[in-house]
Amino acid sequence: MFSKNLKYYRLKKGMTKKELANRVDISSMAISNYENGKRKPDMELMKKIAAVLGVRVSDFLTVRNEKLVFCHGEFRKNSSLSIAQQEYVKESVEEYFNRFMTIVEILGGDVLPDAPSVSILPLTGNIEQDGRSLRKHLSLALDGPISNLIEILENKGILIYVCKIDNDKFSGMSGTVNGRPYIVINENMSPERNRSTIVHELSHLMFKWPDDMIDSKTEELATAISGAFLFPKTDAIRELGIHRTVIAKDMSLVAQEYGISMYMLVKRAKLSGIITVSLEKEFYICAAKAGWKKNEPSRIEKEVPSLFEQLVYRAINENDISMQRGAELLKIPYDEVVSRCCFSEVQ
Amino acid sequence: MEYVSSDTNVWIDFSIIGCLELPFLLPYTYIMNSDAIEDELLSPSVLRDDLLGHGLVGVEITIEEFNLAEKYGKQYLRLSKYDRIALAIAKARGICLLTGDGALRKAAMREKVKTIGTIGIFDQLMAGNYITEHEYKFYLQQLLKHNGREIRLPKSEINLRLQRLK
Repeated sequence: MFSKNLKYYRLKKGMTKKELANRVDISSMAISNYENGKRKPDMELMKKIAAVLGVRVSDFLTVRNEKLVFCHGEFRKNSSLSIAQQEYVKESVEEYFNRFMTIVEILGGDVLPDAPSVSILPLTGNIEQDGRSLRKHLSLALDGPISNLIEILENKGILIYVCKIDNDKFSGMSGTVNGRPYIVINENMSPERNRSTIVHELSHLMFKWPDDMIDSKTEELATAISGAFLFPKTDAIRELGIHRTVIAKDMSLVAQEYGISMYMLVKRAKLSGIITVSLEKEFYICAAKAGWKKNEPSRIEKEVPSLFEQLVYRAINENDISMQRGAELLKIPYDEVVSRCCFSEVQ
Repeated sequence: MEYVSSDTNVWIDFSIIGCLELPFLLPYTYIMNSDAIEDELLSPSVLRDDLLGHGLVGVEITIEEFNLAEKYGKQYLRLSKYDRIALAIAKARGICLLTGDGALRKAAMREKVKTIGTIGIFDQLMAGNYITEHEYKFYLQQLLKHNGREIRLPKSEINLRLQRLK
């Protein structure tokens, strides 16, 4: 418990083992030994470490469930995240799902729907077909907009975690916790970007990817499947028409309806043969000039996971846990938990 | 003065019915881990200063208590870290645990730690003539009235006492 928490808070603080060791006058090896659980510091040193990391000694007591088995997806070899940032993302994922799975266990363990099987869908070489097979695998309609994507996935047993990381290069990752698929997205991304990242990661999880496929090709394909999933060709033709000669304002309403960016809509329109390559390029140039490459205006509400909160409030209201424990699990103030416990809704 | 290790939520009961000062009339020194007192995330924000003003004492934990609280984390998932620390302090120092939480009380029983709760405090206040029978009845009625929201006490225990007073 101490070891995992120490590593998590060190990475959260963005410190190397050496930096932390120097600040508390011990060797890096000692920090390594603490983090891999071989040794534990005395209380004086623990206090010093906590002070340097900006946490309390009691924060090192956050429960870590040793029964959880994580299988994290690999970051791409050319990932723009540093190794330390990659480690931080992984540690954050583990810290979050420890809290999540704790409430699941407290409620009896049988509160999550069975998740769809992972690494099972064959890649066909046709992204439209792959997009459809992914929808089918999740028991979704084969066409039409998918609103509340996060809510839908949570109800299908796929866990979503919104990670707070000050890095706009990180869009998401995925993996499994005790065999159950999870997807991580970056809180700082736009709602449309979060949605496309979620489906991108879903593709990584659900398709059987050849071992010999190069990283860039895998990423490109997962992104293309994400587009075909969120805005299928049949929908694109129905909504936009068979052929369009300009990128017009009405298209942004379609982008809003499908919860996708204009970048994705234009890409899908080109892939569906609705617009020409030159019109697509023309749009990219204009969009880049308008600063949309980094900050395209969002047209939809941010989606947030709600399952974890629901489970915690259920446990509080059923007297399975105290409000303090609920606040600790949700990492929100006690007063907020009290105000959000709906005791008087129907009274 | 006998030391009593206190959890964070028991004080809410006394605070809500407006008698936070009463437990401090008893010959106890209530101790709580300093981190728990300082942590505004987990304590109702107004309580901290009131409790310190009445005489709550903040204590640092030893490494043995830290290790105990860590061990309890694996055994008692329902407990918050501050619950576990309060239990570890009581266990390691061989003192009574003051708690208003059912899960913590059960854990304390398993760890053979003596506990006292909100109703027990009122019983002692009455037995020691710190409050009148009329006040005792009033506070029990207040606990009943507010039970179910932030106060979560066994109604049957309160009713039993009220019936005895009739």
